[in-house]
Amino acid sequence: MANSAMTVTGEFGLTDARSDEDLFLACREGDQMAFRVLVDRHLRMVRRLALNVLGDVQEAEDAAQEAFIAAWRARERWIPEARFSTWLHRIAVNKAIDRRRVRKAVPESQEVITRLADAEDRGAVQADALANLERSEVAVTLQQALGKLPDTQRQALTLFYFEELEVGRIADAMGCSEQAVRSLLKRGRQTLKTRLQRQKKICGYGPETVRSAPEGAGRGA
Amino acid sequence: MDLKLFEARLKALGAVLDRWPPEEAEAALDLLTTSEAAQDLFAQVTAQDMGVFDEPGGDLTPLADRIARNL
Repeated sequence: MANSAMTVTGEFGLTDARSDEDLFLACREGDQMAFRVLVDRHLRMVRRLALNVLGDVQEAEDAAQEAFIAAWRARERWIPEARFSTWLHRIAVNKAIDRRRVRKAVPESQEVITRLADAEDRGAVQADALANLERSEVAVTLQQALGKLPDTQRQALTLFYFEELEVGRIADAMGCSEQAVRSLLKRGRQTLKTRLQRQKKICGYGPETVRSAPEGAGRGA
Repeated sequence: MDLKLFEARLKALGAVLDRWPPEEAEAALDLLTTSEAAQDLFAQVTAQDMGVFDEPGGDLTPLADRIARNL
């Protein structure tokens, strides 16, 4: 086990002879001071790991905080079969990756929209191009509708559909429960559905109406 | 990217993923998402880098306090 049978002084000068694992087991009894010693020992490394993934100090510190809080919350179900530090580092890497994906989620979804729009410009007179055109219009409408959703609903939907993250990972990334994520997804889908149906009625979207797309969009059909 | 290639890239490029070619960084992230062995390797190299380059990083007391407040 790490740090066993020796006194370890950490980042902030906290000294404790117990191993990481013994300290974390003490946390099960609600010993926050024991956890503070663990933070003392491991914060710089956890922050560095997150920084290596994220490349941004502020985000790395947020990810480090999330990692320690996740560890604290998992203390009762932790099984000391691996070193505490190994387990904590894995949490930190996962938190940082989740944050990086959250950061990328919106730009990537916009990139999908742009690609579809570009395809539309390349040749809308052919049947497949017409399909692209329809898709691009739906995608643009979808993007607009997404943009009008509350931040949490938009983030949950984007991570679920564009990043294809599982609900559990989304919950970790957003700092809420899986039930909350499912609720956000459900409400977000309902709102989107209502808005897209309303938009369809106004614009007459559908395969038969693709040719009457808005003017000035550079389309050949 | 498999673990062997990841290890080779880690040795060659270091653990700061922003210094990797973007496509390889993305592939590495995919591997890190699914492989605990890759995560452990990543942590080992990060720890070695911190030892070699004497990570400065500034005062982490405010961050530690923030963590303690949010438990």
